[in-house]
Amino acid sequence: MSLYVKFIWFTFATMLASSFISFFGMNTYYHQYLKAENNDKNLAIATSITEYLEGVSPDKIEATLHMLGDVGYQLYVTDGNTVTRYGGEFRDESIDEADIQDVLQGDIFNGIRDLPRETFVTGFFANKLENSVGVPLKLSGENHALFLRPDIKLLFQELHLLFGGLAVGIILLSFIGMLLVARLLIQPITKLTEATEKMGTESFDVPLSINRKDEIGRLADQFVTMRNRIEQSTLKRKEFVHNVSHDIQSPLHTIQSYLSLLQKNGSNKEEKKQYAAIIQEETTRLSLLANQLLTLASFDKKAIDLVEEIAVDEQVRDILSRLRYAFDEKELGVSAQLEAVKVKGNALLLQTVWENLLTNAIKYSEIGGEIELQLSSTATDVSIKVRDDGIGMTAEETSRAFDRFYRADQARVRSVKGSGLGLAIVKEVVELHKGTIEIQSVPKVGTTVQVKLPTR
Amino acid sequence: MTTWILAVDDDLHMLNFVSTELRHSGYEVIEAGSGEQALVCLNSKKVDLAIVDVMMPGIDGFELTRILRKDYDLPVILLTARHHIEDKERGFLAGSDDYLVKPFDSKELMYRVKAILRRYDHPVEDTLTIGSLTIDFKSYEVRSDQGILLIPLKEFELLALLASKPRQVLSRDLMIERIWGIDFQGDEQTVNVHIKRLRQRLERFAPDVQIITVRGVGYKLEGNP
Repeated sequence: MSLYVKFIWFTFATMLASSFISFFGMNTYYHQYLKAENNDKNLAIATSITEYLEGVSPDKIEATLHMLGDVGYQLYVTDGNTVTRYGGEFRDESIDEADIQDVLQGDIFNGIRDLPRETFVTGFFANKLENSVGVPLKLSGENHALFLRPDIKLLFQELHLLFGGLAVGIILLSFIGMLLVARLLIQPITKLTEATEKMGTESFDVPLSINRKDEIGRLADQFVTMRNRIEQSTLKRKEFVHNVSHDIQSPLHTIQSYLSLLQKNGSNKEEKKQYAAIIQEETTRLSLLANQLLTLASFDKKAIDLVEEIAVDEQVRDILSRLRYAFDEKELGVSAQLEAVKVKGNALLLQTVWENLLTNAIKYSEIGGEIELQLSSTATDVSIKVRDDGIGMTAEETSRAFDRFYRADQARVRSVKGSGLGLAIVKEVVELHKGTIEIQSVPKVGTTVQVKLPTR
Repeated sequence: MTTWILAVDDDLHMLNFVSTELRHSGYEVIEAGSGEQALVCLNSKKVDLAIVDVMMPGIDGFELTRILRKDYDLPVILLTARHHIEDKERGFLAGSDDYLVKPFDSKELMYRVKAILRRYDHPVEDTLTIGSLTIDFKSYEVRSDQGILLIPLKEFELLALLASKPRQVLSRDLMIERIWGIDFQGDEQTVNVHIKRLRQRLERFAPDVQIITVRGVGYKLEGNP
């Protein structure tokens, strides 16, 4: 069901329900409080009429009753046998015979007050003989009963029309108003829907001219912001996939080439060994890349909990022991000053950070070099400094070091293997922990990387 | 004397890789495809070290480590899958000496094997102190008030040798024989390079400990009290 139809139904139902409820309420109020008052009012009128009639000369009685009928009263006069009516007619003249007899005996009939309550009938408008007041009346010595009620039809005919017109007007105009409002509300939603559908097929340029200050305006603004962000991340993702594919493709290509060389006869044992080493190196690179991609993918999970209490010094010691063979291979000396410090965060991700910083330091060190590690803390943060005396980077290389897939070593150190993702990941993890990372590097002197994490 | 190593893994490729690498490095290897099989092998052969994979059906790596430590007093290296830090803790609780995270470099494995075998070979002293330096033979670390210093194995042995005879002049020939072995093809220049590096590292790390060159004879280590 479209929103329009829903709006119409809702308006209709509201009106119906509110009419019923107010009618019911007012009717209850009438029966509870008003009908007794109404009864007494009419009784007073009837009493003054009888007083007048009993004092006036008999030849004028008939005319007076006619006149009363003409000015707006319904009169029903009976002596027990014959009935005379003046003014408007009662729609329903049924009445208990005993009530008539009582009035003839001199009692008063409080019909308006005693009218039984019916749910869907208004007591006030019920044009029934039962819904009248009755008073005894002596005419030329004979007992009569006079029943009276105001002639509503005569008195309020124009009012009926006015109220009816008012009601119809209210209903019609409300409907039209609701339709207009619905249109105003629904139109921007229709536009948003179209734009959303287009976005599903990766077109992000559908114009969206919704200038409003209300909730829908905000929704539209948010939508545009979101769309821009998605557009950007889509572009980024495509570029990323492109880069990754290239980085997977090129080692695979190398592996294939060297495998075909290996299969050819003619190369000597020494050459074969060299080919195998190259293949090995390339597979290591692929494996590293896969691992780093997995780490990056873990960022995409919505919430990474940063709640673990991590003993950074233990973590670093652990990694040092794991990398021991690599230090040894390059005959590096590693001095470590590790203060026992703790931070809150994600253990696995931080471990990746330390690992990356250390493997970088190893990668860019020269044989017999030195790596210095310093873990210290202040009142507000924990700092870890990794310094090497390796090949270093130029200012331009340093500034691009955090770019994904950027490799400072591309031309200079062909033997260094890496995916170019390492520092990009490090930076993301550090920023995720609300920390900072800084690189200082001088070519041929070395590089110092400092990470600071808040302790909170 | 040949060194026997027991390799246990239910992944046959991995098992094959580990034992091939070990054999290349001159060790003898007994292969077992499960914990149960490993225990059977141990009945007929005395081994020096076990390399055990954590994830195995039947007796798992932790359980096997516990048995190997308790009943056979064997040093154990555990192989664990990546990203299972709790594996490491459970492994040490079970008594493993070291652990390796897959995928590992074969060089890393060989380094660990060598280190553990050495540690079990000379269980004489755990540490040696000279000046502000403490040399830890268990963890192959050098410590001072400056923190920890990790140095390459050859340099470590050189330092340990010098420190074991403080203030005594040791000849280059003795050093080559002790550290590089009698079959060493290189010359004294190698010793000089290592000494030079070691000296530089100590300068920064423990200035009170000095390697002094005794012209025409060799080197001696002096630590100021």
